[in-house]
Amino acid sequence: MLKEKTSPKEMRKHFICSLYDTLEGVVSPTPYLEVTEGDNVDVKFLNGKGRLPSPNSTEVTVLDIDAASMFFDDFHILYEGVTGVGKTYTSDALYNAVFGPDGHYTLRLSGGVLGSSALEPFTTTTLENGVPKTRIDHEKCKKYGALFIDEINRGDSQEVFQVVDGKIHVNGDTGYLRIPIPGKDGQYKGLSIIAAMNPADAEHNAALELDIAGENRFLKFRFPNGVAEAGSNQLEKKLAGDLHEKFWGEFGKRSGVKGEWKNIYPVVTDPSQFPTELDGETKEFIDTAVGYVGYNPKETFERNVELMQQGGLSPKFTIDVNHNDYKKILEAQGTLKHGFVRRDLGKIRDLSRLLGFIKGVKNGSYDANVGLNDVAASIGVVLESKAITGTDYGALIALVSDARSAYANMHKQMGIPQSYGLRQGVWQAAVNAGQENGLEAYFNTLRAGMEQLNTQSSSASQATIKSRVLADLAVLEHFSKAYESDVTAALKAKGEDTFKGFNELYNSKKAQASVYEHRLGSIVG
Amino acid sequence: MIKIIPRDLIKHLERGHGQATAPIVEPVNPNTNFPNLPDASFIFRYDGEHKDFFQELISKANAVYSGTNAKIRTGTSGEIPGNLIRRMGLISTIANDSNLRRYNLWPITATQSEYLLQAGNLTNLKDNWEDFGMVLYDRSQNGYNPKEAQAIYDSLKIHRQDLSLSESDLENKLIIVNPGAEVDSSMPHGVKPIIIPGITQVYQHEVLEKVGKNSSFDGYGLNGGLPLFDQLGSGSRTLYVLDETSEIGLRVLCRGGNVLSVRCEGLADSCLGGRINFARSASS
Repeated sequence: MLKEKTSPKEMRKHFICSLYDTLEGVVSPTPYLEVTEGDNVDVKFLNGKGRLPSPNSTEVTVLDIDAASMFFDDFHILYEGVTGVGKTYTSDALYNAVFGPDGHYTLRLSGGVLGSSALEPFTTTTLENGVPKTRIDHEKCKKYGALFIDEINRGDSQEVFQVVDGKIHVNGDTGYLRIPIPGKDGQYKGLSIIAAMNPADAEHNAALELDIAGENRFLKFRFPNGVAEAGSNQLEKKLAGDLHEKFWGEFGKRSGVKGEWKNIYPVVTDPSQFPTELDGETKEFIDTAVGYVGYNPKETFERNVELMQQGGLSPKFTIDVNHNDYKKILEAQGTLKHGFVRRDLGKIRDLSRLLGFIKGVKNGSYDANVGLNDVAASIGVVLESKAITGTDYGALIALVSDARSAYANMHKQMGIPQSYGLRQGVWQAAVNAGQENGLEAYFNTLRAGMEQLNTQSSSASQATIKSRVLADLAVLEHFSKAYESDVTAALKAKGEDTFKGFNELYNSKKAQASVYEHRLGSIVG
Repeated sequence: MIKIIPRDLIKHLERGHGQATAPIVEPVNPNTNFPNLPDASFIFRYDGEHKDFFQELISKANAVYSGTNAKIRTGTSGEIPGNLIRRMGLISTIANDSNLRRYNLWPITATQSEYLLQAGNLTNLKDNWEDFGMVLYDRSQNGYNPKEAQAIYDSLKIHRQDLSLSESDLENKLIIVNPGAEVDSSMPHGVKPIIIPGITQVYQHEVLEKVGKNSSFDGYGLNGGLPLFDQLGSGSRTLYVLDETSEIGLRVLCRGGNVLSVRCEGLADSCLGGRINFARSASS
C-alpha cells in the first residue's frame, strides 16, 4: 500500500524516473516531435531525426508519449508505421516493465474466418451440451492493466471499439475492463491501450485504412523510424532480464513503497489527480480556433456573422476569399481526410494535458499545467493525424500558429488576464459594472466590449476567431435581454452570488435554445 | 463552477450607467490612412497651433516613459528635439489614447516626408534631421542595436499577418517606419520597439541592396521614402547606404536636409538637431 504522506507529485516523479531508468538500456529514444514556444508556437514532427536542443523547445519522444499516456484514462494511442520500426518492441518493453508478463495482453488481430477476436482476452469459452459457449470472464476483465493491439486495422472493428471503450458485451452480459483504485471505493483505472497498424498502402496490401469511428477513438501518431539517427546504438538495446522486477525494485528504492503493481500503479496514475477542465483562455482558444483550422473559415465566419446580425451587430471585418492566404488555407485543409468531430475536442484537451505533463516531466515539476501553446500544439497534432497518409507535414501546423497568434493578439489588445477568456472577461466586467451601476451599465459594458473587438481584421484567422467571440457575446446580450428581470435580480445580489445567480439562470433557461448551450456554456456555465 | 476574475484586472472594460457604449479605449483603427501628400506638416513643439495636442501628448508620454530615453524634455516654448526612440514613445502614446487619436495627428512617414519635400511643404528642411524608422538588416549580435533588432523581429513575427508578410519576408531586409515603444528595462534605451498594426509600416525596398557608402540620386523617394535603383548615379541629393554586407544589425532610416540615409547607427542620436514632423491622417 502507498504511504499516506507521499504526495502524488512525488509518486509520479518516482514512477517516471524509475521507468526511464529501467528502459534506458532497452528502448532507444525516438524523437517524435518538438514543440517550440515563444510568442508563437511551432510544432515540428521529427520523424526520428534528432535536433540540437534550442531554448524554449521541448523534444517529445515516443517513450514520453507512451509513459505519459498511462496517466490519462481514455487516452489511447495508435501508431501507424511500417514493419520493423519498433512499434511493438517499444510498447512491449513499457508494458513488461510496468505490468509484467501477466499484467498486460498483446492482441494480434487478423482478418478472415479464422481471425482472432479482440474480446478473446476477456472471455472464456466452454462446451455446454457439446456446444461452445463464450461468456465474459469478469476476473479477466480486472486482470490486465494494459493492452497492446497489433494490426488493429485487420480485426473486427466493432469488437475492437468495445475493448477500447472499456465496456464489452457478450451474450447479454456486460464486462468492464478496468482495475479498482485501492483506497478509492467505486473508482477505477482504465486499461492503458496502445494499438499499432501498418499503413494501408501498396506495400501492406492486407491492411486497410481504419475507419473514422476507429481513428476517432485513438490519437494516431505516425511512428517515426529512428534507425538512421540512432544507428548501431539501437543494436545495443534489447529486452533483457526481468524488466518488471527491475522497475518496481527501482520504484521501491526511490519511494520506499513496495507492493504488487495492482496496488500501486492505479494510485500513482489515477487520472483524477489532474484537473480535467481547461481554463477559460485555453477553452476559448479551442472554441474559436477549431472553426478556422478544421473548417472552411469563410463558412465559420458566415455562420457567426449571421448570429451577430441577429443580435444587431454588424461586423466591421470580413474574409477576402480572393486573398492568397485564404487560398493557402483551403489548400492545407484539402489534405484533411475529415474535419473535426466532437471526440476530437476531447482529444485536444487530453493531448494538451499530455503535452503539459510531458513538459512537467522534462522541467522536473511533474505537473500537468496546460497553456495556450499546449492547446495550439495539440490542435496541430490532431489535425496532422487526420491528414491523408503521406501528406507533407507543416501546412496545417502553420494554420494553428496563425490562429494562436491572432487569438493572443486579441487577448492582449483587450487586456484580459492570462488563463481567462475574452468572453469571460467582457461578461464578468459587465457583471461588475452592473452590480455597481445597474442593468444599463451591464449592457453598456457588454456592448462596449463587442465594439472594442469589432474592428478591421487583416487576416482570415483574426476575422474567423473574432467572429466567434463576437457571435457568442451577441448571444449573451440577447439572452440577457430575454431574461432581463432575472438578470436585474442577479445583479442586485452582491459578490459571488451574482455569478451564481447567472449560472442558475443559464442552467434553467439553456434548453430554450440550443444556441444558448453551445455559445454560453463556456462563459456562464 | 465559474472562475471569477479579480475585478481590478478587468476594470478597464467596465462602462457606467448612462455612459456611451463606445469604449473609452478604442482599438487603433488599423485603417489609419496616411495620405502620401498631407495638406501640411507641423513640427513637434511646445507652443503654436497644435500646442494643446502636443502638450497633452508630452504629459501622457512622460507618464509612461519616464525613466527611459523616450522621455520628452519638458519646456514651455519652441521646437522639441526628437530622435527615433522618442518618436516611438510618442507613436505608442497616441495609439493607446483615444483622446489623442481624435486629433488625427501622427508623425509623418518616410514617404510623406518625400512628398512634402517635393511639394515644398516640409518645415525646417535644412537645419534638422528626422528619424522615420528603422531598417532591420539582420539580428547579428555583432551588429548595431542587437537587442532592439531581436525585439522588433519578435514583434514582426506576431503581426506578420497584419502586415501581409510571409514567413520568408521576415528574413529579408525590412524598413519599419513609425514603430511604437514598450517600456522594457532590459533594453539599452529602456524601451523596446514594437509593431503597431495599422500605424507602423513595414516593407522591403530594392535600394537596401545597394552597398558602398553614398550614392547621388535625383528626384524624390516617392516609393517608400527612398529612391529606386534607377534614380541612383547622379543628381543633387545623396543617399547614404551601407559599406558592409554582414553583421549590420538594426539601423535608422532618416533624412537630413536633402540627404537620406539607411545606415545611421544610433536610435537615440540626432537629439539636438533632430525633429519630429506631424501631419494629419485620414481615418477611413
